[in-house]
Amino acid sequence: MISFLEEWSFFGGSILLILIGLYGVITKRNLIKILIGLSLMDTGVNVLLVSLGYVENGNAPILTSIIKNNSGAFVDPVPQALVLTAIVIGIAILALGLAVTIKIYEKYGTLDISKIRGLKW
Amino acid sequence: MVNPVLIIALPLLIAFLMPLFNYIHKKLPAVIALLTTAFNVWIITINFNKALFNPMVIEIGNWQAPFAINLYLGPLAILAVTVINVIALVLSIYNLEHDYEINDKFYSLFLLIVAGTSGMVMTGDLFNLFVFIEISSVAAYGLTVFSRGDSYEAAFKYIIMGAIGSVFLLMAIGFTYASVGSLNMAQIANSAANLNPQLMRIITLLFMIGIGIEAELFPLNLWVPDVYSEAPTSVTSILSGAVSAAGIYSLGRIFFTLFTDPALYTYLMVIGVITLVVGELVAYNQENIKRMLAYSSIAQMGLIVTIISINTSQSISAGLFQLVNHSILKVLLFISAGVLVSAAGSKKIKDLSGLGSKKPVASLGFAVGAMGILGVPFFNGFVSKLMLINSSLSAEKIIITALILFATIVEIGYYLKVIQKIYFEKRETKVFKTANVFIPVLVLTVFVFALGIYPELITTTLDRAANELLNSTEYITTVLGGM
Repeated sequence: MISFLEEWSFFGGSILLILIGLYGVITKRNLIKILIGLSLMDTGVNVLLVSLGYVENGNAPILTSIIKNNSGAFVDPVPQALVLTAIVIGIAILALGLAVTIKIYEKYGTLDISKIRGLKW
Repeated sequence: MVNPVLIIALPLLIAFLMPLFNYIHKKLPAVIALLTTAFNVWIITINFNKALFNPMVIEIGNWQAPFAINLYLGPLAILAVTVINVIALVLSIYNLEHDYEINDKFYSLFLLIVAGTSGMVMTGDLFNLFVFIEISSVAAYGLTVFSRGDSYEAAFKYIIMGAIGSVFLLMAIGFTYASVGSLNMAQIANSAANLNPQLMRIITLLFMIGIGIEAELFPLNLWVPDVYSEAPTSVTSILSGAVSAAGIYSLGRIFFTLFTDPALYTYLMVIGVITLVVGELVAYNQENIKRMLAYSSIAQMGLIVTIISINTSQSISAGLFQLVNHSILKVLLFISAGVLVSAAGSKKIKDLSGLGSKKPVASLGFAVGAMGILGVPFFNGFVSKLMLINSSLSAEKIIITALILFATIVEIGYYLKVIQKIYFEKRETKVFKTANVFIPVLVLTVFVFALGIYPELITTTLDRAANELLNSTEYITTVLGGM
């Protein structure tokens, strides 16, 4: 039971995080809160990717002179490289979203999407 | 021989040098952008025949295929990359004279879209596909806000939709990697048959959500009308002509080369039919000409996805021909409509009355584009529509044939409404001064008639591209080298 929880808390937790983010994006009316939801989704998918490459008791995938017994147990380095790229892209999109939010706030003086013409979907 | 990797690398380099060129002379960025896209088209022309008959695998850093990232330039990729870069060249010519204020940053982002979409179609690695999709969509978010006005809201909507799509795309890539253990497309295609079919369906649905944003498929295309009606003309044109074409290309790659399960084509067909019907019906009621063209673009994407999902070699080449024609015609329509809109000072169709004699080039361009979409003989749309109907009839999908004909009738309704306004009504209000679009309209019109009168120009390419999609083994052995 415990090992089952351990294994599934990675996947379940990260997918839960994505769903919380999606819920936030869909239901919130404040532009900043929508972007926070987006950020949660990004984090969730990053955790998911890292946990997909996790190996039980694995070391960091780096060859050093300190860690001698690194022959078998490595965590998969590829998802970590992917996540590094995905984090950068996520931050860039978040920054762009915030910049556009500033412009919308300057124009309308509000962050409530129900009061902004052209943002009702 | 020039290495085709320059098609991606050169625009990427020049894009970040744009501030420097701007510092030397204010007019320089426009010329440099034109030269870069012209250079890309030149590389493609000299590599065209080679890629068509003898697919090229370009290994980055000289590492063998499954271990390192590779680019793949086969018949399908060369077709898509030609369409993208020719359209970028035409739009760079258009950008020399424009109706809105643009600066060096505009050209940077424009070249980034060219690099991103070319990369999307050339890459042989799933994660690279994600990166290129993000490059082109982030550049598109930035370009949307260049016309000020209501474009910020449109850009915000686009950012939210695009970011949600990228999360789903990343999830799909993660699951694929976890189940196959590789990100190389050929490797995945090689071992996809051993996958749990349930998992495969989940993965492809996630891919469909992720790429459907770019390809303008039904529930994910809410951003399209807003962005298309608010963004500057050349941005709208490249989104409609190049980015959505690259999206359809990636969908084809994933649904035909990577995961070949006949059950998946049913999903694709359902989504395509819904997109087609909703797009056409909403387009009919639009009062804003750019929104009308946007919904028409959505409908065309739905049509292409529907016809490709029939999954015969005839229907796939018909769908690809329609994709090429749609790119040419929509760019022509958007450029002409952009001029008409700035001449009238309004986006409403009813304010465009009587512009036929005042703006002859743009009006003629719009008429040619509309006739092409409707499928009048001697226009390129006629040949592809004939192929669409022919292929759906020979696959015994009578309902699809009926839908195509129904869609054409609706299209006649809304396109002729605009043409009637432009040509057969008197103009009382004043006409604003606009940019000269003679060269882009002329080039695109030549393409329209060349493909309409002499379709043999492209049929070999289409057949080979369809063949590549249907036979994934050829792709696998070319990339992996018989491993």
